[in-house]
Amino acid sequence: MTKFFLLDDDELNNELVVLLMNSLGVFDVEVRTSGIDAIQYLEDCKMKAAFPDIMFVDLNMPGMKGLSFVNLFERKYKQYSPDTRIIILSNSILHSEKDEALKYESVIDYWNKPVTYKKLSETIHQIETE
Amino acid sequence: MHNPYPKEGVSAYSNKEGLSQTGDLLVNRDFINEIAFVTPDLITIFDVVSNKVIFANYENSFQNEQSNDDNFSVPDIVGMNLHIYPGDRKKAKEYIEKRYSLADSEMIEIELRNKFENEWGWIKIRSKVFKRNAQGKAIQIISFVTNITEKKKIAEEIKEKAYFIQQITDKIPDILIVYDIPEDKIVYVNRGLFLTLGYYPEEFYSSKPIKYENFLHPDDYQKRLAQMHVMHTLKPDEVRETELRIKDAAGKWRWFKVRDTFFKANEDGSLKQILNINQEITAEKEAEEAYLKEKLINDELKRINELMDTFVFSAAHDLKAPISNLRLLTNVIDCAEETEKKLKLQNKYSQIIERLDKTITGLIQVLALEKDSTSDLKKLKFLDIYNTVSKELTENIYVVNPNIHIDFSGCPSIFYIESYLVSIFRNLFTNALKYRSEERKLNIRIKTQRWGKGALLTFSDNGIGIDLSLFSDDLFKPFKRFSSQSSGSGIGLYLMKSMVRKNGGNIEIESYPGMGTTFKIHLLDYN
Repeated sequence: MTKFFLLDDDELNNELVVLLMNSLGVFDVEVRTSGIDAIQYLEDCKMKAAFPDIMFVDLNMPGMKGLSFVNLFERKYKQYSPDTRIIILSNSILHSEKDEALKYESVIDYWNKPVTYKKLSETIHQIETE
Repeated sequence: MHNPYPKEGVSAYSNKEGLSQTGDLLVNRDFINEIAFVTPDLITIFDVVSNKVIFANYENSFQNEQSNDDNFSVPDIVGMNLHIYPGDRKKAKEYIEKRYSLADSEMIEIELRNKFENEWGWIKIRSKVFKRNAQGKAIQIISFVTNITEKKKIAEEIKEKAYFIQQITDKIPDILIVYDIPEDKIVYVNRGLFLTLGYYPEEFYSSKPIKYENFLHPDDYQKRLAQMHVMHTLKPDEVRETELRIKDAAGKWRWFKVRDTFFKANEDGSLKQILNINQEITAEKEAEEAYLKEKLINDELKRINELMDTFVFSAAHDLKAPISNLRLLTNVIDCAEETEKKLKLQNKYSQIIERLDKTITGLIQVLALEKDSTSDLKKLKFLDIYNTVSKELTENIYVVNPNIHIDFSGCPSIFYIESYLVSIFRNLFTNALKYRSEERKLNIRIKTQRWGKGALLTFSDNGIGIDLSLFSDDLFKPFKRFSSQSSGSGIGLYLMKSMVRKNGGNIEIESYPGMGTTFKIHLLDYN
């Protein structure tokens, strides 16, 4: 069963993405709205030795930025869960941000918002067939 | 050649024959001998009738020699073996003639160049009628000859030094003024006054008391007056510096660096005269002003660039977010199968539209701020502004019911843009209400104090605080929110900072999570 994690400060966005996932039959989604909460979540995962398969991470958040979270994940938690993959979500219009994000080994894709039914279903399908 | 002057220990010598011819003189002989003995001067008495020196306090003076071109012949002078400089001989002859026609009390004198041994020096001769005949005609002349070579040398040196100083003081462009404090009068100015400002010294000397208001810039006048008032405390090794604007003869203001120094003391050691050195620094001042002006323009351009960077991208981001959500919502509604669920989801449109509206309102506010609003300037009472804003926020204040402590006594008012000050108060108030702690009653303290050319407004609360180590970079940037729960558009702090900094003010923030937040706002008076 595929486990999802969603990190975004935009609560409405989160609510809608979760609904979209539900309509695709995905119910195992953890949602956090700040980097600090997300790190706490990773600590919990480490304790339980259960990490998500896919993490959706928004770039632009108050406080800890999305890429700082990715960086921290790779340094401190990736060793416990080398297969966890990250998909960046962003409203940014800057190319530099995309290039920077894709440098991280765990980052497999960069999506401009909004998340769509099509993209989401393709990704879920791909992961489940692996 | 030998020195015609009596040396120490040489006794006076008198021609007894000559003296006996003039009976009256006998009475005074001892007295004259006494004087002749003690004086370093050469003294002669010349008898006009016999054309002979009848008294001298020096032996060799009596050797009458024939005159020739090389050896100037004047009976009583030649007799002393003087060697007058040829160029002075005509003058000497005239002098000798003049002696015969002197009045009783009259004494004449002459200075002549004379050769001593092999060196030229100076002598001074003073003459007076010593005796007259029954007809009142001068028959005896007394002369005193003094070696003034040393004195002349010193005088020459002084003249040389004075010339040297004169040359320097005349040629430096600095204005040197010697001012006498007890007299309240300028006693000296150099040519710098004319060279630099175009005034003639008389224009400065004449006025007493000195009319500073005629020369000093109105903004510097009081300052200079105050400085002059305490000038008597100037110490001998002290230099007091100030910068002033002085009006030149053409009416143009020129900047000067003014140094006041101790020049002359009274007998009791207290200051009598100051030397005031005025160095023109107009060019430096103008360059400095031009630099500051340019810097101001550069800073403004830099600020606009930064604004464009943060503002445009942040605005794009914040506008795009609700639009993404709209599309996402549409997508979700399409996927929903039950009609009831679809309808429920449609309610979310208004939520997104509200956010879009807030963002756009914020954008408009930022753009409006960039426009010049200095027409709104007036003297504002902090209390009035506080009342306006608390009235506007009555409902929110009623719900939260905070303790509010205000103290505007330290600085009750300021000359400022009204809409800005209202906006600053509104933002501070709204923040304090919004980020209050649920665990304690909200306390708000508002205080103003004088600060330089303006006011320091301190606004403190005991709310949730902000972790500055996490957010300080973004704190005053537009469209940044620091709490996922917050409902604002994220431009409050940015707007506040932009308004305060518009005329050179500044905002500082101190905050500790769980303790509260203090804003220290330095408002610069627009007046």
